[in-house]
Formats: sequence, C-alpha cells, structure tokens
Amino acid sequence: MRTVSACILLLILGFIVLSRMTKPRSENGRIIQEIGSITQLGEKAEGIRFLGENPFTSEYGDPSGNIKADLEAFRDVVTNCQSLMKNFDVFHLPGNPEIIRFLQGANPENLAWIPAEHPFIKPDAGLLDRNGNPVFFHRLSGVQIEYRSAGADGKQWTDDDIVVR
Amino acid sequence: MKNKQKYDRVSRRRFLGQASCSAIGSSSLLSSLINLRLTGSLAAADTGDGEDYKALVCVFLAGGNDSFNMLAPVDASQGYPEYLAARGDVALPESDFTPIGDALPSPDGRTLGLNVEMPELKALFDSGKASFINNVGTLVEPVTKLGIQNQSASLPLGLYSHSDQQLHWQSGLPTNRSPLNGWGGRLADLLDDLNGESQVSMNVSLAGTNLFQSGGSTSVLSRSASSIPEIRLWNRWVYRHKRVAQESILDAQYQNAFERSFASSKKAAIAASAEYRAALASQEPIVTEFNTSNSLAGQLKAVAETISARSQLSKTRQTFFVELGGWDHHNGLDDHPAMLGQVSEAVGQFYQAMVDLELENQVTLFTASDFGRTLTPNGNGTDHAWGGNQFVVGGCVDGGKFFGDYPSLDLGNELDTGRGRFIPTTSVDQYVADLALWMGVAATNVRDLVLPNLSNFHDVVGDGPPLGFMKMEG
Repeated sequence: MRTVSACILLLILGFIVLSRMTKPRSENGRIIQEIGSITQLGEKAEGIRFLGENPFTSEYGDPSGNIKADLEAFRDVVTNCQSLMKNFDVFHLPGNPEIIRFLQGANPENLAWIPAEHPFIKPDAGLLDRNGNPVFFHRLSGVQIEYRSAGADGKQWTDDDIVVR
Repeated sequence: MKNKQKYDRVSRRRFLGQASCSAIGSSSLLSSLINLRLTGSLAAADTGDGEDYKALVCVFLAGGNDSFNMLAPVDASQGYPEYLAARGDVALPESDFTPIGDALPSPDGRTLGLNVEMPELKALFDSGKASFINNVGTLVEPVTKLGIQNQSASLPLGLYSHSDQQLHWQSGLPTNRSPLNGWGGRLADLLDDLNGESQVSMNVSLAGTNLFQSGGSTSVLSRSASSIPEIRLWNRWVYRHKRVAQESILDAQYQNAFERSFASSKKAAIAASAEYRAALASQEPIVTEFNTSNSLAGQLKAVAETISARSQLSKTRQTFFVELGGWDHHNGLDDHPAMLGQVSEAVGQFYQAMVDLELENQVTLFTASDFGRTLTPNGNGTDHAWGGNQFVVGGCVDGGKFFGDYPSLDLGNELDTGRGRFIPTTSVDQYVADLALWMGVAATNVRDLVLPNLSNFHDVVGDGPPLGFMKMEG
C-alpha cells in the first residue's frame, strides 16, 4: 500500500515539475521561453558556461512586469557580473551591444549570464525594451551604468523615458 | 586556447598585483615629492629662478565635448563629404565652419574649419595665439584596433564613462581606480617653493575641489565666480564673542591626530580666505569687459582678478581650474554651437584681460573634456567616444597650428572602434607634458613625478617636449 502511494505521489510530483518546465513563461508569443531551452541557448556557443536562471532570464519581458522591472532585473544581472568580474572596468565595453556580448560569454572567463539568443536581444542593437527599441546604456563610471528605455514614444531622452541605475 | 590567453592577461592574481602596484605607485609618487620638498632643492632644480610669473588655466568642458563639430574638415574634395557621411543628422552645413590654418600636411591635404560660433578663438588662432591639439585622449600605452579586438591592449579603466575619464584626464593615472592626486597638484608640489610666503594656495578653483589640482602638499583654494568663501559674520562685531570662542577651540592642543589636523586645516583656511580677500581688495578692478552672464566668462574674470593680485599673494606659479558643464549631448546637439560660442567669448575676453595685464605670455589656457563623441548620431545626439580635439591659448603658444593627427572621418578606419569612436593618436600625457615643461618642471620630474605614464609614448628627457606647441623660451 505504501509503495503504491509513494508511486502515485512521485507521478504527481513528476507531472507538476514537467508541466512547469513546459509552461510558457509569457503569453506574448515573442517571448515564450522555457527554462530548459534558455540553458541550452546559453551554452550554444562553444566553451561558454551559462550560469543558469537569473532575474533577466525569468523576469525580462514577462507580461506581468513592466519596462522598469525589466531594467531592474537586467541591472541586477550586470551587478552580479561585476561582483564576479571585479575588473569589469578594464574591458572595452562602449555600450549596449558590447556589454550584451560580454554577458553572453564574450569575456575571459567564458561565463554567460544571459543566453546566446533571446527574443529581446538583437546582435547589432543589443538589448531591446519590451517596445522593441534598443535600451541605451549610459556609462556613468567604470561600474555604474544608467539603463534608459525610450518609453512609449520610442524616442530617447524624452519625458517618458524609463531610467534605472 | 585563445580564451585561455586572454584569461592569463587579466587573471585575478595579475589584477590584484596591478592594483597593488598602482596604489603603491601613487603613494610612492607622493613620498618622492615630499622627500624632495624636504630637501629644499626641488624648485631650484626645476627653474633656476622664480622671477617670471607663469600660470596654467584649465577649462574643463564636463560631459564630453562633441569636438568634431567644433573643428571639422571642410574641403569639398575629401574632408567635408567624409564628415557629412559620418555625421548624418548631426552634420552641420559647410557654411557653419570657417576654414582656418594651412591645409593638413601632404598626403592628407584636408582643410579644417572652425565652428562659426567661435569667432574669438578664430581670431586668436589667426593671430598665432591659439592652436589645436587633435584626437587627444586618455591612454595607458599606444593602442591599435586589433589590440582592442583581441583584448591584448591595456586600456584606461572605465573607458567611455564620465567619472573615470574625468579622473584620468585630471590625474594622468589611467590605471588607477582611486588616484590620490592630479597632475596639476603634483606639478604644484614641485613648483610651490618658487612662491613666497602665503597662506593662499597656488591652486585656485572656480569649480570646487577637483582632482586635477589636488597634490601631496599643496591644496586647493576654492571659490565661486561671485564670492570668496568665508565664515558667515566672522568679521562682524556681533559675532566677536563666538569668534573668540572658536579661535580658542582651534588654538587648543589636541591629542587626537584627526582633531589636530582638522583644527590646523580650518585655521589655515580662515587665514587664507582673509589674505585672499585683502589681496583682491587692494587691487584696482581689472579694466577688461567680461560678459558675466556667460558663466565661463564669470569664472575666468575671477581668475584674471586673482592673477592681477599675484604680487600681493607672493605667487610666481599658479594653476586655475574652471568648468563648464552640459556637454553630454545625447539628446540633440541643438545648443552645442551656442555653447561653443560661450566658450569662445569667455576665452577671448580672458586673453584680452591678460593682454591688459601685460601677462599674455605668462598665462596659458588649455581645454580638457571627458572624451570626444561618436561621429554617428544616436538619433538626435551623439554618445560617448574617446579621442577628441582640444585647444590651447596664450602668448607662448606656437599658434595658428594643428598638433597631433586629425583622424580620417571615414567610418571603420583603423582608429574607429565603432560608430566613429576614435582611438586617440595623442595621449593626455603628451598634451600635458608640454604644459608642465613650459611651467618650468624639469624633464626628469615630468617623467618621474608628474606624468609617470608618459614614457610609454615619449622620451621627454632625451627628446624634449612631445608635441612642441609651447614656445619654451617665452
């Protein structure tokens, strides 16, 4: 009897885990992601070690969030990167596309904080906000970056910009 | 394997080692300066006599001046089409530039034009009192695009960031995260013995405390354009009892080193303020007209007033720091020409003041800024870049010339790290070395104490001034 109960319990648990893994993280067709596939994408490039789920992979672009929350999630990942790569300010990282590539594993440690492919990352433009516009990375100091979304009007440096430091 | 090599270059061990060396390097600079000062021979070794007055005025354009819209190629055959193609929506019409100087040496052959909003600077250039230093920026060592791409190049820390690049411009220590002093301060440590007895620092700032003028033994006297700092009511009759009490507190003998240091610093500041006020009050007002609604002109007027009181302050060497912010033009360059006009007007009036004081050959003004800006627009404005163009003004400037290579504006060239962010072809160290030598610092001290990074670019002891834009005999 106990064995049967344990088997049923395991089946239920397995079903729950499986359903969570395959459940779309967003209803927005562009940003449906699976944890498994993110990990896979993260390690797509040879020799790159993806560090796993983090605020960016789990929250960026989530329909329940907003641009400010997206930028805060991204900022937290950069902060995490800087705490591991303490010489972050040594590298040639002028702006968004270069910093994104660095976080995707183009760094001496070959560590990736964000996946090699992502619905909100375009190779030449870098990180996009949920309106599809590039986020501007304003380098204030060697480690402090201001993240600026153009907001609803799609134009940078206007009143509706959303800014996170 | 390639990545392994990269790892080796920036390993934690190596990073810690470099950081330690950097810290030790900075403090050893200070101890060397202090030891030399204690021997009492430093200034004498540098200049021989202290008769001639000399001053440097740093005009810092905070935020990153888009200097490729200040000085641009205007020849119709090559330069202007290249400029137009690279700058896109932020390109100015050709008529917004006035051609200046001779064409760049062959095979370049381009003609450069100055923004028409800068007529005073053009007049100074045309009369041989101003020159431009092209594509200058912070560097640790000469750098190539390939070196950047394969991550083998040693770069200034925090490249493209405001605060770090300001620190490097002002300290001359681009691998130091927390420099203790600036090149102006180290220069002052070497030269202050030429000045007479005075409580007033030879370094005067119109823009608050700054790294540029911070030295080991020399401090900064900070004032605003319109007022000189003092303790409110300090000299008023109604305050006399409190003043006696405060003086008593400051005169007390303290066991605690911090308390002792604070008391002596505050006493020195009070004395310096009083002496500075008295010196300026004893002077006839300067006759030169300054447009004081122009904030930079207001600051430079205060500099001119201080220079006019140099004898009362027993000064033969001084440095000044003025600053104009608002150059971080991410959001459109609409007001950029007017800001250039503001700089030009202020500099023109300041030079005239020096002429009126008969000191135009004794005072050199130079500009500095965080970085140049991207040639390509971000839409309306431009973003942080690296090398930019600066200018120097003074009677001792080898004027009417361009020093340093003006880069090709062809996007993607060997200096372009992307979007027209140019690798500097002249380092801040080379730019500054000419000024330090002109001030009278011996070449060995320029190399060893003022600009420890200079040897990566130029042998100042063997080969003299790196750029040669100052007339040293002046």
